[in-house]
Amino acid sequence: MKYLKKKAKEIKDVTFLAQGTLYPDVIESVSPTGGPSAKIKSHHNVGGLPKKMKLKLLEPLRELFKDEVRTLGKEIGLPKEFVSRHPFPGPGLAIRCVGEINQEKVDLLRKVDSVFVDQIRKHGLYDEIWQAFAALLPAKSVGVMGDQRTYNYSCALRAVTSVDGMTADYYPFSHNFLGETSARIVNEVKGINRVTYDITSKPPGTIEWE
Amino acid sequence: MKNLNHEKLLIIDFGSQVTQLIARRLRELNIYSEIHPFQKISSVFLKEMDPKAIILSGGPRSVTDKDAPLPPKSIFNMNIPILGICYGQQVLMHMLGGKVKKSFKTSEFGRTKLRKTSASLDLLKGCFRKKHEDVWMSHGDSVSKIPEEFKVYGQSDNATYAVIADVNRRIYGVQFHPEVHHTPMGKKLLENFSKISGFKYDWTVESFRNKAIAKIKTCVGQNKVICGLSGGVDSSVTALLIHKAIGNKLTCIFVDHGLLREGEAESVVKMFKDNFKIKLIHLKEDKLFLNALKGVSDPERKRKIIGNLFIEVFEKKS
Repeated sequence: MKYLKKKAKEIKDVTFLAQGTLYPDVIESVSPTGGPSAKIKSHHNVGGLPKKMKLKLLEPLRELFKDEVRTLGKEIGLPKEFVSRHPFPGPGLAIRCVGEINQEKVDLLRKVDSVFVDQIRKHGLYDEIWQAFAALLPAKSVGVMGDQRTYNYSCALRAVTSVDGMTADYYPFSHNFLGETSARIVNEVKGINRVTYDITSKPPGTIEWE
Repeated sequence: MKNLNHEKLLIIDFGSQVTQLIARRLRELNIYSEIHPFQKISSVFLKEMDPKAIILSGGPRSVTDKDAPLPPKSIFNMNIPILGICYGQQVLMHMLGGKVKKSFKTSEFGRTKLRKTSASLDLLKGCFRKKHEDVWMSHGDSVSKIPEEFKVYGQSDNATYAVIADVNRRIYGVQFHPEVHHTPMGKKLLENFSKISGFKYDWTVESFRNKAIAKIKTCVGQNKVICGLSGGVDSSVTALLIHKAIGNKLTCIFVDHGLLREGEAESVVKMFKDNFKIKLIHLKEDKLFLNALKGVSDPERKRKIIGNLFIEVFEKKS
């Protein structure tokens, strides 16, 4: 705590707040009826922040599209694996634990997600896929492991291809891949006894579950 | 940070779903473009922006409506090339003495065959590998008459004036959408338009990087900057770029809400603190976030709670 206080003091005379706003966030949208009021989308990560803080904004990427940001990132020395990571929502795993969340659920989901992504990387599919992740479903289901009846959580795997995130198709994994992944998840993540694969396109579905 | 002194192309947006794609295609050609809504375009605006060319986007309205959205007439006095796409083409015709009819022929939606006429046109150079090219259409209204100075260079079954031009004034109109992937020759057409406009193709990520770093230096001066890190690519690139410009006048704040992927928080801290030696305040707030989310199951409320809490934590520490 002391360290933080000291740090906070040190940066007290801050005048600029930097944000990773991109061009698609700042393009003013035209209202379809042609009315005179053009709206500006508020940045989804930090909406409302600047007003409260009375800081000047510094948004050096506001002229760039996402893939240009990735190229720039590599240019200035970020590792390639880092800049090509799949998109991840600001609220994080909270909106991938369907319904109410708690520590146990978040931890379970994190493990499932990590096994799934590991499988995808191992099979060399990561860069073909726009976004891949696991969602924890709010329902427990009955299973049998060894001679024991289990009553555990079930999860859904989601992997989609897309050019821009506006429309998406589910990724056509082989049955071998799905079988292997399901076996690994149930074996490696205690507390999961059922794995499903989400085969909905966008539209009508969305990429995320919440 | 307003502009980085690149040559600019102005895209006037009339509300098409695919306007952004025009800018994307132009970026791929190393051309810097800006999209602005039609309401904002005035003579003063045009003079200040000083574009090298203008593209009028498509849009959902009809120029036959009384209150149809239109650009100021002054765009025609700037002596720069203009390309109208779909609704944009109809705008040109409406303002320059042609005619547009509601469903003049049948509407066209989706893939359509475009035929060349006998006359050749700089805009279509190299676009036709065969007599017909697939183009993507999406229109109800059609141009039904063109002014004398204009000629037809391309037609489809339901669009008599699918490509028109006044070559002397360098004003072009196309009924189809060259900016979408479903129009394979579209990129070539936009490239031709940029050649006609005399662009130098000076927009590259390298040139952006150098100019952006210089801008940040001037803009920040001796002041200090804070930057919130989320673990994502956008905020990481922002932070690193600023660090390249102003070094340790930058402090990053990483609010770890405990909802990140496996190993993510550790890798952010390691990368920024250890590799890049950037000042980083790492706030581990997982308990705070989990408590606030207790008993909440509505997705929108979950998002709001996290967003607000993020701001609160960030504010407290800066």
